[in-house]
Amino acid sequence: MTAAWRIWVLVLVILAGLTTAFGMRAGMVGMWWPIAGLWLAGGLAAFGLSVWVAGCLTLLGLVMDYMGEAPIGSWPLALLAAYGVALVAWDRQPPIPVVFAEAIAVLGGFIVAIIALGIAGSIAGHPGFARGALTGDFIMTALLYPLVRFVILPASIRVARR
Amino acid sequence: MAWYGNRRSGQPRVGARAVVVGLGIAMVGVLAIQTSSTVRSGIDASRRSMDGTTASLAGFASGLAGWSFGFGRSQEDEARILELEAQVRDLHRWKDLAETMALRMERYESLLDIVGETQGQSVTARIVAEENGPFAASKIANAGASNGVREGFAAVNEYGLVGRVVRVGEYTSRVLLLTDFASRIPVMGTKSGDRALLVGDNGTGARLVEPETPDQIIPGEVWVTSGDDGKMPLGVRVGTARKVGDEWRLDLALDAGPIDFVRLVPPPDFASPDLVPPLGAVQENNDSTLRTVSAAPAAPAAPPATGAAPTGGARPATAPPTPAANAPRPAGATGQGGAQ
Repeated sequence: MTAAWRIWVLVLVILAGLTTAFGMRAGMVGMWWPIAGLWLAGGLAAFGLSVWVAGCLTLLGLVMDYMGEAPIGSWPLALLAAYGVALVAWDRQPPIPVVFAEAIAVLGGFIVAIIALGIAGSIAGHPGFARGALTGDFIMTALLYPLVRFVILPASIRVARR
Repeated sequence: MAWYGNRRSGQPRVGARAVVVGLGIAMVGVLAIQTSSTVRSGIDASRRSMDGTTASLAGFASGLAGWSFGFGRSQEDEARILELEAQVRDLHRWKDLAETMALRMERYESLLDIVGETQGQSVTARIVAEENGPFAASKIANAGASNGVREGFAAVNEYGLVGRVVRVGEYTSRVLLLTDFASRIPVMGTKSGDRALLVGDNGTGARLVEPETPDQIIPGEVWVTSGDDGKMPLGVRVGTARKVGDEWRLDLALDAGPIDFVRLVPPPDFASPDLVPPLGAVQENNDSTLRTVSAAPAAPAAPPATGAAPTGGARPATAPPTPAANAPRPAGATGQGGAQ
């Protein structure tokens, strides 16, 4: 992995953090706002398993925990779980079209993220967990993914394969 | 990328897998140790400083987007400003009326010898960030410890109760909304007089838990804070009752409109027990203290700062409450001006 690519991943994580912060502005609480971390978890898995990406996702998750009053460690766990599912989605043999891999990565990532958040809340003894609050956010994440994927993925990737 | 080509070689990266799985396990460990109250209080301290950072980040991101996309004041904003100006004019009239009423109530309390609750200085703050995620429903206001805000302050806006302050940074404070899972507010119905605990359920609203006489609750009845916990001021509008299935819920007043500004109100200032005169130290009633005053007293009226209002000498509404005025008086003991 090149240093330039690592820096690019870091920039993407910072942008994702700012996107999350922007969604916390006063007056936006009723709006569906994309979960930028899921974009990264789904898209960056196309490059294969990377400790750097996992570390960056963990950092982003910690920031999201602080911003969202979530138990510390819950969003990192959710993003790592989504990253794991996305890795499996991108690691296909025989190769499948990229769009299928991305659909599995984003949808599967969301499902495991929800499960991971629920488990994290239980482990940390949090009084409750509202799945409904995430549904609209996920729809927005999925709708905007085709636009942001061009920032995350190189155009040279045509198929997802091992 | 060479690294990408390496990935396609199909060689399993055992070390990398172990690190990523280890990260996941570490996060589970971090979550598990948060069940300890000691650890949680440590995390709360770090969250306290992070609230300010979150507010700054939200402001920065907002400014960045405004600069990038050229968002400006729209017609909608202009209309909103005009509407708010009209509201301010109306509120001035209400304020005058409220001051008159407060003055009258103060005199009635003095007449009835009621141990009242006084309010300290409240702080008006702007909401700079908000969160309605799976774990919390809260907002960050731009007033903190340096502005006199403390944990436990009630957050009220023009519609009614919004929540309470759960964490205070130097320049920010986090307000836990009534809809949050962790929110517990004692409330009472204005018509039925029933009392219950208002418990949030994150997102959809709040429900009434363990009402004393649920059969007396009236649909559409206005519910207010009961102040039973000694932390919330009494009588702040919370919402209207609605029955859903077997349980009662409140249509919260905070949903009536956007929450831009909140007033952070300190808990009622109940006099501390050490201010209460010890038993036997209170002046006994006698003929002179119990006589009905029909004319102006011979003695000069007490200065306004004492809080006494012998015969119409009511304290000006602007005068700050004094400890003497706040101190409860045992039943039977009359004020300095005698029973009236």
